[in-house]
Amino acid sequence: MNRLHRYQLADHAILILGILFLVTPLWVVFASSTYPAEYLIRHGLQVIPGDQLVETYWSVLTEKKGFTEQITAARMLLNSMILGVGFAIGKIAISMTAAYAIVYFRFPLGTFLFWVIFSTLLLPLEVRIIPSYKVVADLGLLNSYTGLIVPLIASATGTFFFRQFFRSVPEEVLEAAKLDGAGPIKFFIDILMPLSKTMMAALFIIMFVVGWNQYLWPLLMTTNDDYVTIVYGIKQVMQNLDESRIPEYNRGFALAVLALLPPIGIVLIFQKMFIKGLLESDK
Amino acid sequence: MATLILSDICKSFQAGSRAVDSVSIEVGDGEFLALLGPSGCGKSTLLRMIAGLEVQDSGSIALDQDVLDGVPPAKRDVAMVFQNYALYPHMTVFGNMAYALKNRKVPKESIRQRVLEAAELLRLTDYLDRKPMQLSGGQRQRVAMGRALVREPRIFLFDEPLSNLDASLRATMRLEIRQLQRRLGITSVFVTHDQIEAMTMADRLVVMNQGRVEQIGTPLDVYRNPQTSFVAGFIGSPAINRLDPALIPGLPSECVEVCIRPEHLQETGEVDLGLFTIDLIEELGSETIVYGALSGGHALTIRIEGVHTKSIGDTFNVYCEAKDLLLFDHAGARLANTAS
Repeated sequence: MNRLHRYQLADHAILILGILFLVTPLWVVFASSTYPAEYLIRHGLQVIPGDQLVETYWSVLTEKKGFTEQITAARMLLNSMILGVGFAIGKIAISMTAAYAIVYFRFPLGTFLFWVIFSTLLLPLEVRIIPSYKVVADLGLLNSYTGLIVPLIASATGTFFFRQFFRSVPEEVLEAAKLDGAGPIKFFIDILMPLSKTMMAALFIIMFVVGWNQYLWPLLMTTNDDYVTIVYGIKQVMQNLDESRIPEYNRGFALAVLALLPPIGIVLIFQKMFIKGLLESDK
Repeated sequence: MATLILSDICKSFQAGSRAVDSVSIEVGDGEFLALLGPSGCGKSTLLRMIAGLEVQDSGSIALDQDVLDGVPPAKRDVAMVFQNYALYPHMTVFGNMAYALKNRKVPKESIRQRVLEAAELLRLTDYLDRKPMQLSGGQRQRVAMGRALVREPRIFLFDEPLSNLDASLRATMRLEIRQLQRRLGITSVFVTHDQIEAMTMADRLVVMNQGRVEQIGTPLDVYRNPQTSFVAGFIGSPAINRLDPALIPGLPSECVEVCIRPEHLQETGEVDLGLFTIDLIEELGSETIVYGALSGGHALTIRIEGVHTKSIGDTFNVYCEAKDLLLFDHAGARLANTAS
C-alpha cells in the first residue's frame, strides 16, 4: 500500500513537472501581454497578470497596424481561419477522392501512381517553393485565398491514410452495395464517407493546425496586408524596432495568445473523434 | 419465382487452371440447391458469377427467359447473403434493409411497409433502430437475410452464411432458413463446405471438386449412390471405408478401389472381410463409432446403432453385404456392382 502510494506520488510529480514545463511559458506570455509595452521594457517578463488585459486585446483586435497600418488582428485571425479550414477541407477532399480511385478502380499504373504520390513526401514545401511560386504567379493567383490554399491541398499523407482505411473495409460491403444498386458515387457518399467520419475528423485537426501554422508560404504568396495571417502578424510587431520606436511586446504577446486559441479549440472539440480515428475504426 | 439455368460455365483466374470447369446446372422453381465441396472447389466463384460479381469466361447464365450475361449485379434481381453478413456498419437495421429499395426509388411508405413486414417475419421488429455492432451473431444473420428479403428477388444466393455462428445457433438458423425458404418458395442456391448443412437443408445437392461437378442429386441419392470416389469420400461422417479390392474375391478386374459405409459393416453377412481388432471406441449415445484395423493392418471404421458391449482390444470377424460395396475404377468413376 505504502509502496503503491510512493509510486503514485512519483507519477504525479512527473506529470506535474511536465505540465509546468509546457504551460509556464504560455502563462508568462499571457501575463506579460497584460502590461504596457514600456513596463515590459523596464521590468522584463511578468508572471502576475497586470491591469491592461482588456486594453491590450481590444486595441490588438480593432486597431489597424502592420506594414501599411491597414490590418487588425481580427482580420488576421479571419485570414488564418480561412487558410486553416480551407487547407484542411481541401486536403481531406482531394486525398479521399484520390484514395478512392486508387483502391476501388483498376487503372493502368495505379499502384505506381500511388507510390509517385507517396514519394512526394520526400519533397517538403520549402524544396519546391520557388517553382510553386512561379506557378501561382503565372496563374495570377498571388494575393488571393485561392493562391494561398489550392497549391497546398494535394496531400500524400492524407491519401495514404485513406488508402489504408479503404483497404480495411471488407470487400463484401462493396459487393453488397453493388447488389443493392449503389453505383460508384452512391457507394462513396452513402457508405465510404460515413464510415470515414472519424478518419476525417482526425485528419481535419492535423491539417488545420498545419495550415494555421503556415509561415513561409503566406509570406511569399501575398504582398497585400489584407492577407496577413496571425502567425505572420506576430512578426510584424517587431518592425517598430527599425523605426526606432519601442517594440510593442505586449501586442506581440497578445497576438501569440490569440494565435493559440483556435487550434486549442479545434483540438478540444474533435479530441474524442481524433483519438477514435487514430486508434480504431468502427467497422 | 424463377428457374435458373447455368450452361457450360467456365472461369479461370490464372491461365492453365480452371476455377470452374464446364459447369451446367438447372435449378428448378422454388428449389433449394446446395453447392457442396471442399474449399477452393469453385463453388463460391460459381455463386458470385450468378450474382454478377464475377464474369464467366464462357457459358451462359439464364433466369427464366432472361439471359443474365453482361447484366450488372443490381439489375439481376438476385439477392445475396454473405458469409460475414457485410452489413453497413453505420446504418441502423432499418437503414440496412431499406438501402436497396431506396436506391431503386421505391416510395418511402412502401419501403417502410416492406421492411416492417420482413422484420416481423425475422423477429427483428424490436431491433430496427439498432446498429449492426449492437446485435448478436444470429441477429446480424437475420438482418442480412432481411436485407435480401425486402428486395423480393427472383433468386436467393447464400455464401456460407452459417459458418460464423456457433454450433447450436447454426442448427437453429439452418432450420429457420429452410422454413423461411419453403414458406416463401424462393429459388435458392446455398454454398457450403459443411455436408450436414447441405444434407439437411437442400432439395438437391451439387458436389463439386476442383471446379467440376462430381454429382448432382438428392441428399439421400448422393449418400447412397455416390457416382465418384471423391463423392463417396466427401459425403458421410464418419468417412467411408476404403478397401483394397484384393480383400474381396470376385470383383471385376478394372476395380481399383472398394468403399463401404461404416454402418454397413456387421458381425454377420455374405462377405467376410477378416479379423478386426478394436483400437478406439466413441460412444455417442444413439450410436457407437468403433475404430480399428483388420489383421492385415487395414484401418476400418464401424458404426453400430445404440450402445454395445465391446471394449478396446476385442477382436471379431467383420462381414458385409455384397450389395453395399461401392466399386470405383482407376479414374474414380463408379463401376456396376455385379452382386446387387
